[in-house]
Amino acid sequence: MTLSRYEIKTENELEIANFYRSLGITSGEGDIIYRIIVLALAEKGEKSITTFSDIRNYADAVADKGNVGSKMKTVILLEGLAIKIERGGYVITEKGLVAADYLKRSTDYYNKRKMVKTIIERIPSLLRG
Amino acid sequence: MEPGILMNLLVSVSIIFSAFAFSYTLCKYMKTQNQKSQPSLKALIFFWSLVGLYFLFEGLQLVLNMMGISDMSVFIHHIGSIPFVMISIPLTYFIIYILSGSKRISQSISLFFASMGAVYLYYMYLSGVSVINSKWGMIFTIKSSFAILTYILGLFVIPTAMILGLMILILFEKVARSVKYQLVLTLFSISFVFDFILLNMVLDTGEMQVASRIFVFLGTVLGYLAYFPPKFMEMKEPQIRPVTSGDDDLEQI
Repeated sequence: MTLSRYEIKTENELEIANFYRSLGITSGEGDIIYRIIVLALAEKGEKSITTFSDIRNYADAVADKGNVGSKMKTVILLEGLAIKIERGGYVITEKGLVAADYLKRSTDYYNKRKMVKTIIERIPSLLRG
Repeated sequence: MEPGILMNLLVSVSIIFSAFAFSYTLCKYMKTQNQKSQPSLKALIFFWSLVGLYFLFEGLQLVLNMMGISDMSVFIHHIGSIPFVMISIPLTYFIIYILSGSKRISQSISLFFASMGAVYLYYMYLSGVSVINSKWGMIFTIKSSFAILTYILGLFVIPTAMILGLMILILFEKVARSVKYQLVLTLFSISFVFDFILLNMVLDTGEMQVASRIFVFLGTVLGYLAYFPPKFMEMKEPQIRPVTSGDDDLEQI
């Protein structure tokens, strides 16, 4: 299972993570570093190696190398979402693909909420002002 | 003076006053709207103004009928057909703009409906109308079935489907009750008015015409209630009380 159709855009992922953080969800779908790492791993799929630099291509704009590395060790590898094949090389596991699928659904939910919010903003309401 | 014509005139005048009063009231709230909601409010104002204008001509036609000036009645009816076909323009603009957020797309689609309206008017004027004198007033029947078909398929079915689509979309979404109430009732009232205006145009009995106009009036009132609900229908917000010392709940935390 790969996420080849899911395009990773750091600004969008940050917006989505901030949305979930505003709901009090500070980890998982609300954690931008977690999102970027899991989605970057899933982009390559379970048959290709994802290098640390592949992840940093997306993550550098929002986090530093130390935070990304720490998240990789303390969450991703520890929970078995990916396995380390070589120095700086990782492969996503089936569990990681499940996590990636969940993140994709969280993106769909965010997009739907955003669409409804923009529709409501366009509705004339006499309760404003 | 036939009491039926008087009744018909009374209902038409009620619609005129309520529609224009509602438009005027909405106009006063224009400054409270943000940039995103102003176009949709303008469309709503335009819609209700056209409803009022259409029934103004209908009322005038009834007065002329009462005075025995039948030829002028037909002429006034023809003039009144112009706001009648234009009603679907602000309606579609309102719905498309709310869904898409693009003024350009909304204007383009409204232009399509304006052209359908022009086609309807062309065939109506070309074929003319047949007049039935009843005790409720003059009933105008369009001779061209193509004009009626154009109106029903081009100007009625599509906007009605759009109204229902938007209503269903909002009904099943997690939005605030007040927003849901306002939008759903607005769309319901617009649909109500729209449906019975069409019925008013195609019916060939005076009694049904007056009945459909009563429903148009009810629809206008519903539209007003969407934005100005009566006190007993106002959404009660949960009471938020300030935290004070000695609050038992907090002490347990």
